[in-house]
Amino acid sequence: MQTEIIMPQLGESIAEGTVIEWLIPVGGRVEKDQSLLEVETDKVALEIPSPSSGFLTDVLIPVGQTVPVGTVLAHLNTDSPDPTVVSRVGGVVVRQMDLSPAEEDHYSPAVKQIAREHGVDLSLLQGSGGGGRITKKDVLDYIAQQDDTRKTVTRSVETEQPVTVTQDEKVLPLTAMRKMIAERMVKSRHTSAHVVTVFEADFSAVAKVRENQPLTYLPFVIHAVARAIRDFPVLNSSWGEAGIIQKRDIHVGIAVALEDGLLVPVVKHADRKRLTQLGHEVTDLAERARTKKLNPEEVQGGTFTITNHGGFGSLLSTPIIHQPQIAILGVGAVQKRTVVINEAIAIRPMAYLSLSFDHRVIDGARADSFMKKVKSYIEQEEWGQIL
Amino acid sequence: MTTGLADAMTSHEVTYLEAISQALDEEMSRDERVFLMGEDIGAYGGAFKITEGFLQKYGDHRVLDTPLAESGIVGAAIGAAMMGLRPVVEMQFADFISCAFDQIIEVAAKNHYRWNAPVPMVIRAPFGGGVHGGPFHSECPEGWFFHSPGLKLVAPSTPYDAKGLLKAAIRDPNPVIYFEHKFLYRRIKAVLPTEDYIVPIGKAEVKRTGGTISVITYGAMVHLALEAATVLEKENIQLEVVDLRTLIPLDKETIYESVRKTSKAIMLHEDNKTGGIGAEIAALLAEDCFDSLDGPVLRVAAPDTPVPFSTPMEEFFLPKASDIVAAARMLAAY
Repeated sequence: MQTEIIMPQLGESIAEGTVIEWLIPVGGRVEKDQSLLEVETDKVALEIPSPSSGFLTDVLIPVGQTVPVGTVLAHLNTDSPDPTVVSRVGGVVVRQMDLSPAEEDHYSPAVKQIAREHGVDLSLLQGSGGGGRITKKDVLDYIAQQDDTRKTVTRSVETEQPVTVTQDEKVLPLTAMRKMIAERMVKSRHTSAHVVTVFEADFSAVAKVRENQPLTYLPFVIHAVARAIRDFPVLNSSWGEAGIIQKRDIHVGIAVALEDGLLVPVVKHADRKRLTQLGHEVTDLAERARTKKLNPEEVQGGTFTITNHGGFGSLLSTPIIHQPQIAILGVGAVQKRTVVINEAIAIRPMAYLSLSFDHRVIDGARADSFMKKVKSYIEQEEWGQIL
Repeated sequence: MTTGLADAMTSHEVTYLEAISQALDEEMSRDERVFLMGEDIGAYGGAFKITEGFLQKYGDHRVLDTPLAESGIVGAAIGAAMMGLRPVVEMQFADFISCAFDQIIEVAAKNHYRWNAPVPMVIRAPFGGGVHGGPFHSECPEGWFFHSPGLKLVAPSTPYDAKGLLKAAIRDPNPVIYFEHKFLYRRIKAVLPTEDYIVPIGKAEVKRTGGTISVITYGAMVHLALEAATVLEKENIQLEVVDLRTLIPLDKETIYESVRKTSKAIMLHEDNKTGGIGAEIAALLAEDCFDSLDGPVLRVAAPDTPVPFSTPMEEFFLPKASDIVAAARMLAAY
């Protein structure tokens, strides 16, 4: 019996996914619920379990290809004739060649030879052969393309120049995440009328609580922000053609830096949670974001975003709004600074809070009023009571 | 002239078998030192009727029916060759050649080396399967001789090559084993030149050009490779079919030129896979064309068993066009 493996729906608004890795080789056996392949969407990477037991007889979508949800990716067969046999030459079994991903520097003699002759840096090429192997044709095509490019560039300098890669440059292939970030950031810049306002907050009260609690600064900020949003619900909205759509629920997204990229897991109903709970959630979400273990719904539905750029020592920032939200708060590094309090100079743990907001939706006065609230909640003395 | 004796003067299509007949006839007419020996080749005209009419035309001193003793036939031919004649010996089936193994390997192949005595003789060996002949009438014994220095081996795939190579073999001053494929005898036809021609020994021919994969083969398998090429053409996999024609001496130049172009190669033969001619060529490619290879060198060949008699089993045993197609697809995707 044959079963189709399809690209699953990985979340409500997700329309497509990229095959990152087949965890079972072609011809290999997989048990029901055993991980069969890894799929990446713009926000998450997930291992997809096999819907049934069987042999992976053919893979239709190779690694690296992005396809719409519902696309047939492969076939499973419950019965297997010797799955490695692809042909019988009168009893001589011709076995499937090993087309598994080649080692990074494994090139055929022909490929090496041509690369040597033409001075091609093979690390710049994408292979089209089995397992992504760079074939002779790939190298020849690359050389031909380089020749064309050189010609094009010398011919017309005014027109958009095709990307040329010289000997001392290197192409880092775009991941699905990189492409998505690039697309979204540029789009956001073109969508919202970004304005940044910066406040400075005194974290003394927070620091005091932290002396006895294993909490970072972030849960305090989330708490303060969620509370301030309750005061100014328009911050919890999005722009629509019909009008400004104000959201009832407060879901705060937290930007988490990855090795190459960024994810924004969401703390749902941030205004209803106690500090300790926020602390646990933030730690858990960040950890799972870094290990790509988030569920799709955990990166969806945010209504406001906080980016904790201060974690890397940054003081101020001009963050880009996470569409379709209307504001994002950047939290700078908490540093001890000299401040003037009641005509006296004091040393206090201070941090700059940078709010990027969409001027289409709110004006400066509203944004600053909101920030004033955020600041006051951070500086409040009652932290100990809302642990 | 009788029906079996081909008429060299006409330009109509002739079969592979008739081409062999024509070559023998023409060489016997041209050179009176040429004579034939074999089992039932005279009065009966040969098991496949290749020499039908020859006895009447050339007489019993040039068309000799022999006892069933291959070692004796070859031994006598070696002696005649050393004394200045040009014997052409027929093995009724190539399978029986093993009876003459000692004479071929120890005497014919070594005489010139040992004491400068050339042995200009031809052994015709009807070989190959696909004719429901069973294990003793279907073999491909070329591998044994391929391994033995001092012989020349040829294996034509077309009527043109069959005639031209046999004439070249008869004129060659060395012992030549001429492997003629029984399956092709009456299955393929061609119009041949009316004038005298030879196909030089040691020259392969590209029977079809293509850029994706070189298929290196000989004998009846050439036609399978061409069939596979037609199928694969639609998938943009272009096979280049190299017909070796001569197995010894190998035309390395043509083989290498093709593989250096395509960078991928399939060895195809009807002989057993192990230790066959494909294995040797694969080794040569590894030695001399390593820098040109862009994929593993594959062999498509018969299994290491006797040729089965049963029709379905024989069909299973013999390489098929679909086997070449499968191997080529795999190699193209590599």
